Amino acid sequence: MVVRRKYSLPECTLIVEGIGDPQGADERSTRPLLSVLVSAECHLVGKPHALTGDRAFLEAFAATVDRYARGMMSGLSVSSPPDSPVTVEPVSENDRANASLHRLSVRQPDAAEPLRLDLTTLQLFDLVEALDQMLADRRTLPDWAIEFQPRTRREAHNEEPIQKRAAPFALGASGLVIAALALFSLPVPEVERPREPLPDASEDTSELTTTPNGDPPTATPPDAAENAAENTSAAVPELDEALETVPEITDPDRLLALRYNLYQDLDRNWTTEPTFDRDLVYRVTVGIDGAILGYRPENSPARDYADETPLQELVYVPVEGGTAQAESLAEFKVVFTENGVLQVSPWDGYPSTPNDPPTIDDIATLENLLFEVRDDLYDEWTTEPRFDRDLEYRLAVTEDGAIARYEPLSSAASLYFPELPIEPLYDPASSIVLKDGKVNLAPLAEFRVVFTPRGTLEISPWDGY
Amino acid sequence: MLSNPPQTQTSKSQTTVMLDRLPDMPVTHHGCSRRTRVQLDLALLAIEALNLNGSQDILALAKQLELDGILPNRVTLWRVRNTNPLRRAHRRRPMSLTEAKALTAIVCYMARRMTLALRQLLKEYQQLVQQQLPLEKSPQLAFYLERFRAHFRSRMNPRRSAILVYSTDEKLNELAIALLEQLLFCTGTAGMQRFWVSLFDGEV
Repeated sequence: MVVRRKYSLPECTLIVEGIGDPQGADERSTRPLLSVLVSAECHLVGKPHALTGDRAFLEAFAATVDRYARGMMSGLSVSSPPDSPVTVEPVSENDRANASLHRLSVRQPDAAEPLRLDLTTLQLFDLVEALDQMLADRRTLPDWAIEFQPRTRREAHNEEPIQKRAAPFALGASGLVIAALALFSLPVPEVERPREPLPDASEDTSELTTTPNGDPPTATPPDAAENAAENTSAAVPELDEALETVPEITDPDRLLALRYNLYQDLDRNWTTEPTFDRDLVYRVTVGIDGAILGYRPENSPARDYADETPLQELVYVPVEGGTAQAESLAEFKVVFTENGVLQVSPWDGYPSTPNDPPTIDDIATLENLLFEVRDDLYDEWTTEPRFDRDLEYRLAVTEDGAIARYEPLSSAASLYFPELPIEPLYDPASSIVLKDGKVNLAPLAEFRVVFTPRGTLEISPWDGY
Repeated sequence: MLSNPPQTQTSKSQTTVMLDRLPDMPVTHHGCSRRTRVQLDLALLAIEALNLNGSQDILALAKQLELDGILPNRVTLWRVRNTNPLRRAHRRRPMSLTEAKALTAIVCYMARRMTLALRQLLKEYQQLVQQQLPLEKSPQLAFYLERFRAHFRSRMNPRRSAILVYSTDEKLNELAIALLEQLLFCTGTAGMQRFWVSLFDGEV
């Protein structure tokens, strides 16, 4: 008994013909059971060619179309199964007039050239739907069902389009050089700044003294230095008074937070290349909210080269004029060394040892954060790994998932830093929080992260679970 | 036009059967992945742009499908959607498999109700693109795109790098159209299973 079934949709009609199975009678349905497929025909509206084939063809067809549809839903690219007679791929996105078309190619045994049909999304959907309806029909080919399984991370990764994967490889040769150069910009607590070779000291001085009493761009003549110092640190005499009336901050934990905050502020803004050849020492006054209220040069190079430091632009000037009033103050010794290192310490040291910076100890928060960081890292990690071994890092992360500090645990790990997704999430200022107008250190959680050459990452709490 | 019209009456057992058709996925006890959370929220955002009564209808549907044990009220729905890390009001809270299944069912049932609108909008989009005309030529399409952009911009956190990509109208329109296509595929016979599996594609 020949059975013919038709699945009709607005843009696509699927007709299957097969042999009915008299044994398959079912009291719930009077429709005969189509158990053996003889041929299938698929008609698409506006396309002259019908697609025809046997069961093997129909299975390959359904598998390809299903995968493609799933890719459209997930937004991830999915390639057609290898060696399949049927493939679907998006029509080039550059072709504006044909964007959002889907090219169906069918290799037919008796034709030299594969048959190519460009389908609209609606046509593609109706095609998928016709096949789904046939597969869901219990009276047609009940032995065949589509199995819905997501791809693993690995499979999805391997299926990325060739063009996308080829790019990192093409860069491969020069990659190492770039990685090595990029190391210089690695933020480490104390940065060695590149500097120009300087003329020796005597030459330097003679040049300075012979400068006409105008306004030299980089240095102030010694006789003008006193005035300059008066100007740049104009707030200081008043600050001295302030220091007598406003309580000084003695809480070591607060001092530690303020020190870290001041370091970040100065480090971020110290962008002028040093031309001085002796360390610049300043005494800097900071309010409890972290604002720089004033500074005083403590040695003569500090007076002469003040404009090479970011202090002047960072001093907080109240809108209403005068000096800022703070409820309490702290003084720090700030040294800009001639080799480009910034040092910040409390002027009178810590009254007692500060406690360890706060950590996130709550297990639930820690675990949520771990997954958040993992997701963020995966999100930013878009390049194919070029390294051939596991790269380990120690990360300190705030409650909001920002990376406040990181530390490569091997030289390979630091060498391949530019390839890793850490930089976009790195924000050293995130470890400072202003609460009730006071600077505090944010609690941090530490993680060990291993980036593997397979493109996966493993993350665990630094102190173990 | 299509088989499987939206069911208006669903018994408790049918609800269980419906969610059971969505296989459990290997997620940790921390719940669904970031992409799952983002995709579900964006699909609902597109539904809200298509349907002026979107959020009320979503809650009414949850009740009708007897998913109100999982999504009892507006606040819970809001909390579950805010597990999308790209939202301004993002809260770090896991999305459970059950919650994800409930949202998947809601997306697909809502999409089925809007089958005609989805087909019409995509047809107009296709025609405009082929004639190289601006999308604003179609009032319905322009209306949807504008609402989608407004919803997206008011709810997503512009500082996240994943959101920066969508800073232009053009990029947001592309996303809005891709979501229309996604919703169209949700309307089909196997749409719900396929959508569910696509949420975990490349994640397991």
